[in-house]
Amino acid sequence: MSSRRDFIRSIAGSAALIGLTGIPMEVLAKHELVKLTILHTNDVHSRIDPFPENDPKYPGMAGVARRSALIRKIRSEEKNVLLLDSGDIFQGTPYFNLYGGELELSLMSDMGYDAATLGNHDFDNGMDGLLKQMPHAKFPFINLNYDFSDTPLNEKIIPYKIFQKGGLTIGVIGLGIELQGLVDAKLYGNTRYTDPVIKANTTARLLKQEMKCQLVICLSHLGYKYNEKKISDEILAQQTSNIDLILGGHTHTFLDEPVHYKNTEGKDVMVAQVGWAGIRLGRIDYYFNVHSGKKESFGSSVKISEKTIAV
Amino acid sequence: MLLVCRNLLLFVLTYSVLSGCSTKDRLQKTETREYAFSREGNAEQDSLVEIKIRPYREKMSGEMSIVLAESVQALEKKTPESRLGNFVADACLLQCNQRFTSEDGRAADFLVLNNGGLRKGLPQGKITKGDVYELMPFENELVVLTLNGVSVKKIFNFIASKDGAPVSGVRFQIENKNAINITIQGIPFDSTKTYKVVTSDYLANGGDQFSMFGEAGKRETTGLKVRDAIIQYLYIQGKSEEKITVDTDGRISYVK
Repeated sequence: MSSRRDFIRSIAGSAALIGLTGIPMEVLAKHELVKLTILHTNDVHSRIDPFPENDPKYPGMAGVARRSALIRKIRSEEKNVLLLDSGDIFQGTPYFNLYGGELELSLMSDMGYDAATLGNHDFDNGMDGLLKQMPHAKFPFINLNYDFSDTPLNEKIIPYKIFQKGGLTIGVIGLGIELQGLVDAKLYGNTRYTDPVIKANTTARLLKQEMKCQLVICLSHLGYKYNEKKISDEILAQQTSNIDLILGGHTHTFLDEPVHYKNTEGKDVMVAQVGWAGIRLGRIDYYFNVHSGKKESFGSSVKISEKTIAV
Repeated sequence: MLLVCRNLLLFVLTYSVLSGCSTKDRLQKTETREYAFSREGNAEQDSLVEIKIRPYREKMSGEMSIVLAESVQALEKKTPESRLGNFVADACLLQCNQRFTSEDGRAADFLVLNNGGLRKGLPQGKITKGDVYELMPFENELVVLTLNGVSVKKIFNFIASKDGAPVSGVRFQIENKNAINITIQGIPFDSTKTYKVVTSDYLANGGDQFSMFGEAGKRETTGLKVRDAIIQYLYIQGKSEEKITVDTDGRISYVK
């Protein structure tokens, strides 16, 4: 729980930044600011109902009906929304054991999820189990670094997707964790894991430089960071270029706000992750100036963090 | 007048701050925030979602709300050992030895599971079947492996390097990421002996980096799911009207 003092400090901080940016906003408005709202979840793990009231850690928290209501509200206020998930949709409550993930994917479709990547637990009923449930998902699964060509998932998973929102072009890629030693081999079959850094660099470059995406988002199930040198979002952010935002998962990390890194070109990359179970929904609003065609550079990102409740 | 001047100054200041940093493309700024869902915050529910969930929930709630037993304390996982880990490990070893007999008639000596496989704690008070599904959602089955002492030592060293794991039937201390002072069923570990180890098929297949289980000389399947072993154990406790109470007993500890 965040202390009262933190809360006050956070509000005061926000107010100061709003004060600072408040006036130039009027100037920027002449250049037609387009606002893009990214909403994201990760590791929801079949948490459809809120945690029970007697839960030792998260009593009465989470719940899809609440998330859906909030997403509806945000959509009524914002024109350009992208709703994304970073994997491990499946496994964790009897809803998955009994219904195999049908309800999870169907509710995500109702909420208007635009894309998701695959987590290791999305293989828990094998590739056939996932394939069987895929018709319930009205959104694509995106992954770059699993080679499914020799599996039932061949051509069912796409390497990237480009979205057009309010005149902006946004590229979304997806990365998955090494499955060997993590997922039972019989569940992932002939899926081949390939280097996420190489794959991400190649495709992010294509999206940013050739397909002129203003923003490249990576849905990652690699994990935020590890003690050992294992590939993580922290390493990915620093060893790649052309990625602006990494929406992470797997390590169930509650980052109260995105963490900033510098990529290989010294440019800013944000890494976000919102714990697990749908306890939180993350939101990042980007303001783009779409009026001027040239690089008029009004400024780098000014972050206004507004902490709500820290869990 | 003063106000105008102040605004102008602020504008100039801000403009120069912003234009001072050259940036890619036309990104002006970002704002970030998070929403948490609880009874107090963002509690409004989408009734359409509720309507969709209801038939699924009702169909499963009869079975999942069955109360198996009551627990005196909430059980949570921790390292190097925990109430939750000890409870699950002891329940599974007991159930395995009661329900499965090895080809040579020897009971299993000890059990190893992994903390990553315990997905959620158990509450204080009534424990339902649904709670056990959330603790152990996987369909993994218990297997009995026969391993030589050298391989067994590797298991304990690996557990020590991970700062502990749920175990039963074994006690040891962790010193510099190594296992020392090992006893199995109260008898000092002997690297020249073979041991029978219970674990899940997931770990036996090398899951969670337990590659040394691949050195097993013999592997016997029990047909008993880890989850069912826990459910059975709780069911029997509940029938006997004995409340669940678990303590950490120093089975894995650090050398001071």
